[in-house]
Amino acid sequence: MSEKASSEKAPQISGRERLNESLSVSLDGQSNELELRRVLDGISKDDELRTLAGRYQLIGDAVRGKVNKFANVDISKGVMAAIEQDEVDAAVAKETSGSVHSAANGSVANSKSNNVIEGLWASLGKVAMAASVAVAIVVGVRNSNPAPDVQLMAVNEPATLAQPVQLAQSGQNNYGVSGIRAGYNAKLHDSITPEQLAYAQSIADRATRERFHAYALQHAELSAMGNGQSILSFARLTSFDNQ
Amino acid sequence: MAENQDSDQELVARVKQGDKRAYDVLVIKYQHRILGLVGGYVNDFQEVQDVTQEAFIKAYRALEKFRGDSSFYTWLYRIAVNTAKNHLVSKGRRLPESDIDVHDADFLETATTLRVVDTPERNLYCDEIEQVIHDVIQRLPDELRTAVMLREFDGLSYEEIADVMDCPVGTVRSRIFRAREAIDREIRPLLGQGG
Repeated sequence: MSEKASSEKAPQISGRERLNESLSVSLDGQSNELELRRVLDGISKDDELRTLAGRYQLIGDAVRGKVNKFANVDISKGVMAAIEQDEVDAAVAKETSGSVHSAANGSVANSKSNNVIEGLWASLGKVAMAASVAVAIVVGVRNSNPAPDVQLMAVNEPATLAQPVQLAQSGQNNYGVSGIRAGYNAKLHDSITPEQLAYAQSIADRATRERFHAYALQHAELSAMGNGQSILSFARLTSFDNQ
Repeated sequence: MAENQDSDQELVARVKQGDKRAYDVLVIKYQHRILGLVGGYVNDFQEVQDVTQEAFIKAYRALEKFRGDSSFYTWLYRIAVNTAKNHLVSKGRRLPESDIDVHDADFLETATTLRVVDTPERNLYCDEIEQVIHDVIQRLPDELRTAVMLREFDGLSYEEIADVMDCPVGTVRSRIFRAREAIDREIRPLLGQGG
C-alpha cells in the first residue's frame, strides 16, 4: 500500500487504539502482514477485540441496510470451539486406530511366535525320540563289542537242518540282536558324538540287512529241499552271498 | 467488492497454511449474513444458529478444496444452503420451492418466512440499531462520514478513497477508524456490550 504524506496531525493514540485501528484496517483487507498477525493474535486471545470486530462488521451491514435479526448473535466462538474439538477427536481417533492396528500386528506376531515355539517343541520331541533310539543303539553296540561269542538265535535254533545256514561273519551278525537287546538293557551314556551316532546307525542298518539275507537264504534252502526246481534260486542266493 | 474478496483470499490462504485464527475472522465477518440466509430456510431461532454453525464447520473442513474461482462468500453461501436443505430433509420438513439467490440472500430478512425468529421485539431491536448508526453517521464530521460511506457503502479501496478525497492513504485509514469508533460508542450500550 503506497502511503501519501499525512496532511493531518497524527493524534497520540494508545496501544489499545492502535490495535483497534489495525483491526479496522484488517477487516477492510488493507493491513500489512505485521498488522494482520497482531490482529489475528489479538482476536484469538482478547474477547474485547473479538466483540469489537463484530460491531465493526455490524456498522458496515447497517450502512448497506443489511442488519438482520441475528445482529446480536455471535456464533464465532462456538464454531471455533467445535473445530478445535473436531480436530482433537480426529487426532484421538487416528491414535486409537493406530494402537488397534499395532495391537493387531502384535497379536499376529504373538501367534506367529507361538507357532514357532510349538514347531520348536515338536522338532525337539522328534529329536529327543531319535536321540533316545540312537543312544539305545549305541549302547547296544558298545555292549555287544566285547562279547563276540554271542550266537544268533536264528543260527542256533534250526538244529534239525541238514545243512545249517552259515552266516558270513558271526561278529557282524550279532549286532542286530545285540542292538535290540541293548534297547532293553541300555545304560544311558552322557555324551554321544555325531560320529558315534552315525556309526551306530550304519551298524544297525547292516545288521538288519544281514538278518534279512539270512532269513531269505534259509527260506531258499528249505524250498530247495522240498522241490528240485527251486535249487536254482538257492544257488543264486549263495553265489550272491559269496560276492 | 473486490477489496473484500482480496482480503478473504488472504485469510483463506492463511487458514490453508494452518492458521485457524484467520478462519475466526472469516466467521466474524460472515456469520450474520449466513445466519440470515439460513433463517430463510429454518424457522426456529436455535436451529438457525445450529445449522449456521454446522455450515461453517463444513466449510472449514472443505476449505482445502476451495480454489478461489468464486468469492469465499459465494462458496460459503452454497454450503450454507445445502446444509439448511439437508437439515430440513433430516427433520422431514418440506423444502422451499425455489432457492434463495446469493444476491438476494442479504435482503432475506424483509421477505423471509421466518416466524419464530421474526418477532416484533427483534424487529424493533434491528431497526433501532440501524437507526442509531445512521444518526451517528449523519452527525460525523464531513471527512469522516465521506470516508466511511465510500468504504462501507461504495466498497472503494483505501487507495481509491485517497484519490477521491485527495488525501494520503494513512489519513483515509485514520478517518475510517475514527468514524467507526464514534459509531461504536453509540451502539455498544444498545448491544449490551458495555462501554
